Amino acid sequence: MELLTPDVLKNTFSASDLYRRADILQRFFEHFFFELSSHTGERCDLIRAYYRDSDGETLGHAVAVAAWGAGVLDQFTAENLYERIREFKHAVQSLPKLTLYVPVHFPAAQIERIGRWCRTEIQPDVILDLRIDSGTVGGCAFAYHNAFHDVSFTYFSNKERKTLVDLVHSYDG
Amino acid sequence: MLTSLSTETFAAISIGLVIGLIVLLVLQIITGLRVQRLTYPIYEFARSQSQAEADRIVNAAREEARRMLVEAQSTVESLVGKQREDIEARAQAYQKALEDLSNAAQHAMSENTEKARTIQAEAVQKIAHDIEAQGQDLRARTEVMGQQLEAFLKQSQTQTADIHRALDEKSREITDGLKRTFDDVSATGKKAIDERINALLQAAETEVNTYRDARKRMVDEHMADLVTETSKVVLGKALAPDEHADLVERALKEARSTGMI
Repeated sequence: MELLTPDVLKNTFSASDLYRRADILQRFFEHFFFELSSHTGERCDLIRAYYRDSDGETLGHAVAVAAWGAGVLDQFTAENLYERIREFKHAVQSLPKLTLYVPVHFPAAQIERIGRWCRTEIQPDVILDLRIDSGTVGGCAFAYHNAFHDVSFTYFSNKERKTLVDLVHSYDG
Repeated sequence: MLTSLSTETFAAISIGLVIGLIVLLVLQIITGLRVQRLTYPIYEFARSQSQAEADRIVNAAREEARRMLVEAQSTVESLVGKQREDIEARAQAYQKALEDLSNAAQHAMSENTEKARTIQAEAVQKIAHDIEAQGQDLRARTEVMGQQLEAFLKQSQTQTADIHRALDEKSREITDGLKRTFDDVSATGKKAIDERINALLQAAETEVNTYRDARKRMVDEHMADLVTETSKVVLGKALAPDEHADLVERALKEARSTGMI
């Protein structure tokens, strides 16, 4: 069965988030299958409960994983747990990727915002591979389909170079 | 009853057989001792006979070996003596031959030395004669050449004086011509030189202006780069994450609109 269902991609926009959520999933299921004596309740509720006392970021990922629903979570059993996790990570590699160089680390909300824009304007199932590069301030740089483009402040500055030079000239007199 | 009798009979027979066997064993031992006592002297006799025979054979062998040793020693001594005599005779013959050869060589060497001395003396005389004859010839030739050289020197002196005179005249003519030409040129050329200098000054001024403009443009460009870099530093520090996200989104829109994506 398909692991990267639309439900998974619906609330996950970067490759690093997908890998992080795969780890969260694995840790929960190890507890669920191998430590719990009785398995009562919905798995999505149990995930939220399991990570209830974690830090805000982890809890946010756990909530996102719980939102994937039974269609994804019920695919995991004690016998196939590690195999399915491996398949999940392997499937992430096969997604179309936009490597985005950004000047600072973005919170989840900003990643979601940029990711949604990319899914709408570029490709519906594209996944972001975010890298921090302070040189891309005032915009970003990206690699897509094996081509690198710089649309940072340097790009805009070069584009408006004449205006800038004229501006500098205007201070000469 | 019958069984009781049979058992007793068997026991009696068995005891009888055992006693019989013991008697036979005792008889056997006694017989063996007797036989040993009877055969011992014969054995001793045979052993002493064998020992005597062996001693005799060993002694005979020793005698034979000693005889052969003495014979071999005398033969070896005789052979060594012969060899020594032979070697001495050969050494004497070799010494004699060596002396003969040495005498012959000394004789031949003294003869050759004498011949060489004679040939050398003759050669020295001949060379001295030749040198003397050639010296006379050389002296005669040198005298002739000296006379010719003196005549040539006199002629050369005369010619050199003529050349000096001709050169002085030519030099005077050229100097006068140059002086006249220079006077003509200096009057007409001064104007042309002034014009040329003015043109060069104008070209230099134009070039300086062009260079100044180029440098100015370069400085402006650097100013633009400086402004860009400064702005980047300021932007990097001054903006909040959501403002950065705005700029990223704007950049992506720009990329989309210009066909990069």
